[in-house]
Amino acid sequence: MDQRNEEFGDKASWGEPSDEALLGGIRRGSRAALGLLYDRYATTAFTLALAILRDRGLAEDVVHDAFLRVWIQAGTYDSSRGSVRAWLLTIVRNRALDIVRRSRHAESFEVPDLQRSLGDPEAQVLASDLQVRVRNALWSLSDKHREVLILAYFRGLTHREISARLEMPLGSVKSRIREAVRALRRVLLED
Amino acid sequence: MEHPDVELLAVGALSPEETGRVERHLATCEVCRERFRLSLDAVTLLPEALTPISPPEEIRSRILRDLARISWRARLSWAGLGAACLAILGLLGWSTVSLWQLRREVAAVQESLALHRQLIVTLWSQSARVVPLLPVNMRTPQVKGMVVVRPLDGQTELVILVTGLRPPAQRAVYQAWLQQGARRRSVGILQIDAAGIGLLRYRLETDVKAYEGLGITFEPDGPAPMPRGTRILNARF
Repeated sequence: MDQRNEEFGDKASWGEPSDEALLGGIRRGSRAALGLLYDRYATTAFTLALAILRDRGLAEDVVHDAFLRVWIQAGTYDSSRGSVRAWLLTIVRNRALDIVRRSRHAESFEVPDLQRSLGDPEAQVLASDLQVRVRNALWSLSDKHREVLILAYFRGLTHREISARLEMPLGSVKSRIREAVRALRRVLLED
Repeated sequence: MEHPDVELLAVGALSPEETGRVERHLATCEVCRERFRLSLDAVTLLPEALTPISPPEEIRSRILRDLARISWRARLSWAGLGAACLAILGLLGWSTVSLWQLRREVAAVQESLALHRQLIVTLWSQSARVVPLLPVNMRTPQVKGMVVVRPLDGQTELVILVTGLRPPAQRAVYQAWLQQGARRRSVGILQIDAAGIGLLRYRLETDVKAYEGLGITFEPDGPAPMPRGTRILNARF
C-alpha cells in the first residue's frame, strides 16, 4: 500500500489518500495530513477568498484561518452534509463574507467583474477539465439565473437582498436560485 | 414532504431564521438531507470556474507553524471534550494517557526552551532593537511586554515577549498583529505558559519599517483572520 495511504488509513485506494482519509489523519493530529489537504485545496481556497475580497492580504489571512479551523474543528465534520471539499470551501466562503460584511469591503465589486473572472467559455485553451466543466455548466444557465447564483454565492446576499437589489419579486428570485442550483447539480454531479 | 428552500440553504441565500427552519427540517428528512448534500457539493464547485491563483508559499509554513501553538484542549473542545476523554480512556487506558500527556508536556517544554534560548540570542545581538509593548487599558497595568526586532538573513526577526497574561481558557488565544494603516496582518498566536509569560517568534520578509506598529488582542473565539477581540497591548515602531 502507498505509504501515505497507510499513514492515513485509507485502504480504499492505492492512489492518493482520499480527502476523508486526510481528515481522519488531521483528527489524529497529523500535520502531514493537513499539509496534504492544504496542497490539494489551497489554490481553490485562495482563488475563492480573493474573488470575494479582492485583496490578496485579506485572502491570505482567510486561507490561513480556514486551515487552522479545519485543524481545530476536524471532529465536527459530518459527511452526510457534504464532501470534505465542500466543508472546507464553505469555511473559506463564510470567513471571507464575514470580513466583507464587517468592513463593507469589496462593496464596489460588481457582478459583471466577477462574471469576467468566471471565464470566457470561448477561451478555455489552458483550463483544466474540471474548470471547463464548471464553466460550461455556469454559462449554460441563462444570464438571470447566473446573476442570482453569483450574487448569492460570491456576494453572500440573501434572496431578500437580491430581490431588493434587482427589483424582482421574492418568489422569482427563489425560483431562479432553486432552478440554477438544480441545473448545476444535474450537469456537474448527475450527468 | 420535500422542503422548497434546500437549494437556497446550499448557496447561502437564507436569513439566519430561515436557515434554522431548514436545518431543523434536514434533521428529520433524509431525502432533503441528500438533496442538500448534492446541492452543496455542486455549488462549492463554482470557485473552479475562476482562473486559479495560488497563495504565496509562506502561507503553508505559517499554518503549519501555528498548528503547534493551538492547544489540544482547543481541538478537543470542538469534538466534545467529555466524549473524547471517555473514548480515549476507554480505548487506551490510564497508563497510555499519562504517557501521551507526558510526551505532550515534554514537547511543550522543549519548544518553550527553544524559544527562550532564541530570545537570549536575539537580545544579545548587536543589531537588536527593543520596542516596548504597552498596555492599552490602564486597568491591566501588570500586562506588559516588548518586541525585539533584528535583521536576520535579509529578513527581519521579531521576538514578542509578554508578561502578566492570564492563560486563556478553552478556544481563546492571544494573537499578535502587525499594523499597516487600516490593515492588520496576523503574526501568530502567543504561547502562554503557566506563569503568564507569552512568547512568539516571527520572521518578516520585509523591513519592519513597512509597518507602523504591533498589537496584541485577546480573541475569545480562537485564531481570527482579522482582529475581533479586545486589544490589550500596543507597540509603535
